[in-house]
Amino acid sequence: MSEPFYIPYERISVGDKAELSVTLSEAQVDEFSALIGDTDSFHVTDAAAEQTVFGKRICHGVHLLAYVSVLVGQKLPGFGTIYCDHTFAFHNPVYLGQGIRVTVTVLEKLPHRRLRMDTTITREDGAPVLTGQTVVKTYR
Amino acid sequence: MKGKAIHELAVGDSASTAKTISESDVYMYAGITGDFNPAHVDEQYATGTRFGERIAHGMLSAGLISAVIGTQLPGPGTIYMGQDLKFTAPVHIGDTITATIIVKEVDVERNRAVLKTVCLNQNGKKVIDGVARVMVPN
Repeated sequence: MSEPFYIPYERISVGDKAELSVTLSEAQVDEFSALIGDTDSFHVTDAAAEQTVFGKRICHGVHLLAYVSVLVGQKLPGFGTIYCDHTFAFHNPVYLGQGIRVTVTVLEKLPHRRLRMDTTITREDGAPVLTGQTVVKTYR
Repeated sequence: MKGKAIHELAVGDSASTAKTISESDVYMYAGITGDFNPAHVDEQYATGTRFGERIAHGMLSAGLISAVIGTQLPGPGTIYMGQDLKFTAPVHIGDTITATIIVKEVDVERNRAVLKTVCLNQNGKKVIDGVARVMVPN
């Protein structure tokens, strides 16, 4: 078996960037709700969603964050990355079936193979969804 | 069902939920999100890591925090505005994680609240620490 993809710490530079695009279906949002035990919220039922400012069901914020984790674990730095912390703010909702683009950019190389990275999620119509920073530890 | 209104929240209010993180939870999470990092789904690989075995995705435990906020305190209708999230220890398959929310600050004028968010394992070890910022509509 070939070694999985990762970029070693010494080959990573400030400014390095990676991105991925994903669209969350209704089925994924329903499955995620069941998984975390969210049985009664505006993510799950149309009736509850209609009473919110959003008007329609939206994806869980924490579900969107999962794709930041996917991106750092698969592309930059890649395999074996350990997620240490993440500070973030949400700006706009993501409706079911709406595409998002997730971007991470290396801001700073820290001691002990750690990296501080900028994290953004943008909706396909250009609206900002999430801004934040994460610290991850690279595999090698 | 409706959650608490902002004026019904008091500093110190708390709520929690507990869940044993099963192997199937981890694989379901991997299937939904596409996060097939070998640390989570490859026991052969995971035994060679410093964790010694497969560990659960961090965001799975963070999801329990989201569920407490969205279903109990403040409850349905709460909007998650942001969070500082710190992963302080790994979660192994079979661990029971208790996610607890404690109200730290209430801003009635702006409908905002700050919540302390902590996840502990069955031994009382902290696996997630942090603070969430939420909006509580009237």
